Amino acid sequence: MSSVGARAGLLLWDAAAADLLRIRTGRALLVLAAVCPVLVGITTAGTLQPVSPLALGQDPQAWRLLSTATVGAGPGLALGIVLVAGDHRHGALGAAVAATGRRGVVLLARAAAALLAGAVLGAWTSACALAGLLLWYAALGVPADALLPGGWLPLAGGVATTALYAVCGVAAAVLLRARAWVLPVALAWSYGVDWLLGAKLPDVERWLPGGAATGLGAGGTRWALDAGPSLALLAGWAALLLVLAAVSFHRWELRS
Amino acid sequence: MTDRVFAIPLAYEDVALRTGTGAEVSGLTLEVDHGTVVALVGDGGDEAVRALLGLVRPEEGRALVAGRAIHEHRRPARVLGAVGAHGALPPARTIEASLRVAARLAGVGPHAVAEAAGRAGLDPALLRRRPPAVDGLARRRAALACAFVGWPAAVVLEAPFDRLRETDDVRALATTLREEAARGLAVLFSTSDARIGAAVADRAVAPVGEPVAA
Repeated sequence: MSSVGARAGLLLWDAAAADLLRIRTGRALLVLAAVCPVLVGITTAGTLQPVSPLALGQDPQAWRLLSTATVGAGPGLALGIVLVAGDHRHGALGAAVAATGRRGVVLLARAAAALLAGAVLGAWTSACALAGLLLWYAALGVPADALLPGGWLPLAGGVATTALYAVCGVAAAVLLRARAWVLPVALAWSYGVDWLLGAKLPDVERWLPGGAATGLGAGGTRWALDAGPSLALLAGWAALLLVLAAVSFHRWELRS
Repeated sequence: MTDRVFAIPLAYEDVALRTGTGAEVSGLTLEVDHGTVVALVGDGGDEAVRALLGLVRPEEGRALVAGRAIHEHRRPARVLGAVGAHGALPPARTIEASLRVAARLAGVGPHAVAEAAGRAGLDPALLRRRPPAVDGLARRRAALACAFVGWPAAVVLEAPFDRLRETDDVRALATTLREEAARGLAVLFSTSDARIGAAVADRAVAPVGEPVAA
């Protein structure tokens, strides 16, 4: 690696470490981590309602229930948005740009920190989904063996979905210039428009981030691609949004 | 190191830019040398400060830090420290955490935190507090400590005295800046109050409108 590349790498490393420190010492991750079990509980309850207890032990149903781990997508998106919009509001985004002198480094560092923190949030959400399901199975006397094999796949899908949605959140906040309405609009898209499209236009929805998240959770259904292609699709969306955000970020005049 | 010792720390070369309120700065040419305090008074001051930091782009001319644009420095935080509008800091994080973030961005160890806080005149007992829990002067000292953490040769501050109600607070912050300037630091700040600009700085400049006497 050239010395210029090594210096840029070191700057990126320090900027990402600073962003992780920001996340660790802020409140957003804790608040969102508290929201995740609630979302998992609500989604699990909604999934269980139409199913008879007899069907619970069957593998496809277990898979469906574990796929609730992907509800971490919303909190992941919020985490990425807060990482940019919250800091912009309090001048910390400008401080990071001034301290590094390179907007690309700032954006990449935020994306990397969001990916990592999103993965942690996703792992927590998956753990909540698994714990909730095990408790529910234990209450009904259904053996937990029914979760296996393959039960890990939707749980891993939950981690990947939340992590990549956090990156999408960083990009969305930059693209929309960190305005106050970014968070409600992004969540409305995630929970409203995506859901509507899934119901009305499933052939379109399967190619959107929401469809990819569905594929990562419950893969290979009529409405979604398999888990592998879904992962590639969601990663592709995150990369595309980041590229667009990078272009937008370079033109953004950071005023108070 | 050469840059830090010999080049003029802060300079505008025939800079033109448009402010958020629509006012136009044109032909701004200014140098801030080591050991001097300069005020940018009135409209365009905040934007001019932001141009040095690379946050807004001049339509014409160049805003230079140690002879180069800010993005041309390897570690900008070690050449130029920045204090955001009114000493803004994230409210959810302790002051110490904000200082540690600044230290990480500057590529210096956590040991620099206490030293920077001391230079800024920040009471160490306040490090564990969050910005909303301290007064306006302490918040500005905390933001100044973040700027000092990389041991830069120059510091720019956006409206540090605005919204500071007590005369004693203005005087205390001005004393800290003047002491740092006496040690060789170049200081540039913006203000909407021409009287403060004239009282605190060696030179006061109006980016838009009539020249200011200092």
